Amino acid sequence: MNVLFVSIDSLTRHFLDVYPDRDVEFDVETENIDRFAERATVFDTHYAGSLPCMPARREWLTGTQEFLWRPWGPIEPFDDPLPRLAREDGVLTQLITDHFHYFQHGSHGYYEDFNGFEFVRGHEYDAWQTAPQDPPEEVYQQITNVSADDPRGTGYLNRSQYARNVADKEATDETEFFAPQVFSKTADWLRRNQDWDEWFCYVDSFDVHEPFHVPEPYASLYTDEDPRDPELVNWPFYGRVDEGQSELTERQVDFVRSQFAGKVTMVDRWFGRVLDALDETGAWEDTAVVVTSDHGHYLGEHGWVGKPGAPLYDVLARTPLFIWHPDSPRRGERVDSLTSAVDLYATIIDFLGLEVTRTRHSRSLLPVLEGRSDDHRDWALYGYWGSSVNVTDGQYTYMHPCDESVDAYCHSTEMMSAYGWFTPREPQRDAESGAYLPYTDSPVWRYEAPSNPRHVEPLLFDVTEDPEQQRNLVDEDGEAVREMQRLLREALTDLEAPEKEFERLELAPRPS
Amino acid sequence: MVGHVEYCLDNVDSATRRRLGGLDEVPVTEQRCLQRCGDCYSGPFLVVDGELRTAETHGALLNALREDE
Repeated sequence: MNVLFVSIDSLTRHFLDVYPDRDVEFDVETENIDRFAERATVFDTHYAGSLPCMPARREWLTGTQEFLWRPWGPIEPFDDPLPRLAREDGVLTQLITDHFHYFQHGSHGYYEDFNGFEFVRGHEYDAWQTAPQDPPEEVYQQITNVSADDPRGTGYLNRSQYARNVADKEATDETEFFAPQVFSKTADWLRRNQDWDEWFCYVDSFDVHEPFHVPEPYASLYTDEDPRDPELVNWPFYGRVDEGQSELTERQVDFVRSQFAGKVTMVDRWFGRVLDALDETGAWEDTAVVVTSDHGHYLGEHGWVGKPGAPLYDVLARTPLFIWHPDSPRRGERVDSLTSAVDLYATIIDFLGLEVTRTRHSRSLLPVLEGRSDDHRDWALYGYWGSSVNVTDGQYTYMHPCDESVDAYCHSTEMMSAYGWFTPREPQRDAESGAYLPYTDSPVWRYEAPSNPRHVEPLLFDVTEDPEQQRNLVDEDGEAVREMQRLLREALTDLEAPEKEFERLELAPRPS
Repeated sequence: MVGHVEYCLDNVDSATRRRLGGLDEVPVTEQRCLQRCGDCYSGPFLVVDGELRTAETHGALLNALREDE
């Protein structure tokens, strides 16, 4: 069986007709995602695990629910990444992406195991173009709404990098933009690699991720504004929309939403080229196709924008998942079983028929797809390292705050930075070493870093009755709170989470 | 008069974090990341009313805040 895995970054699922969790002011055109959803199995209750971008990829590629042990970081020596397992079994592996995080400080080891990789240059902070010295003003003005990075500055992660990268792109020629290139190259790869007996193609589109800088016709598709008005930002800072550097006017929020929606439609149109290639090559008969996203993106919901230090509402945490499996009797059906991002690792191992006995925290979805089981998991855990820990049973979402006075432990074979993910690492002089992880006997460094609470009080929502999570039930449904706390403790115990997590979350110590 | 102060968790030591948390006269927001990674890596900074402020030390930034009041 071949496997095509497609991640569409930041694809907030309620912007899709397939997932009408909450109202969106536009009728966002996604005819190709709709077309794929009709054919595939649609998972209604799928949750992110470790957030944000690279932690999600370590879940998919290694089956590790990493946020209980460490933040954003590299593949570890004791991981068994999917492309390595696949190629060792004679499966051709390919990565196609425009995701600069794979090549940035702090996150190596993700692309190196693929037989081939294609990297479309220029997105976000990609350290690519150095000319023109003065970035195009029209682009530069719109990618920052407050005191801008020095356009001639040479520091890390300067937004002028993006403006230089797109300086030669015509705002009216969509073929030069990122998702069109990623999906065109994917379609081309599918057509040119039919001779291989078995392959695993991993496509990671950075779009719909910000900056929400889109060409026409998408820029004007969902707004009457002039999309190049310099007062209208398309790369807002993360945070509250009503204060600080992330503050936006109502008009600016509306505009950002319109550009996000336009980008969703652009992604969809070019994703359609991939579906066309599958049609033309007849690959559907021997290819499993997985389409998902790492997380959503706040666009004013709950008063937030981006992926800030906010509670992890379903806007961010509940993600789309569609799987086509040619032998599944559940093709074209919806499945409401609770599933987690980490489960895709074991699922793809099963699709490829790899003989792997241990899949760490991952549970294959193949029994669900084969119609043998609906009872997949009782809980799904999700969160950022060092912060609140969240659990759902598919009906309730429970967000459990942490004690900010208790530091969190970071575990890794590298002295990774707990919060400064993208800049050079510094020595962790207080680190101790030992075999602290329950899933390997390898020693790792262990050191403390501050906890980062996202909220002070617990939050509980019944998402079957209240999908927009507007009514916190903590004070009115004590029984559900106790049950979700029990479930949280059960999940942390099952995963053998560090004792420190129980202390940080003010839970009774882990049973020995 | 300062209206709002934001800082990155990664940019402050525990003593500065305590001092910022103890500022009663101005709203202070702690963020895991303010997307000022280049500035954060270069040295101490705060975002005050949406504007970046840098200095040699956090003490100097906090003193400047007092002078603004």
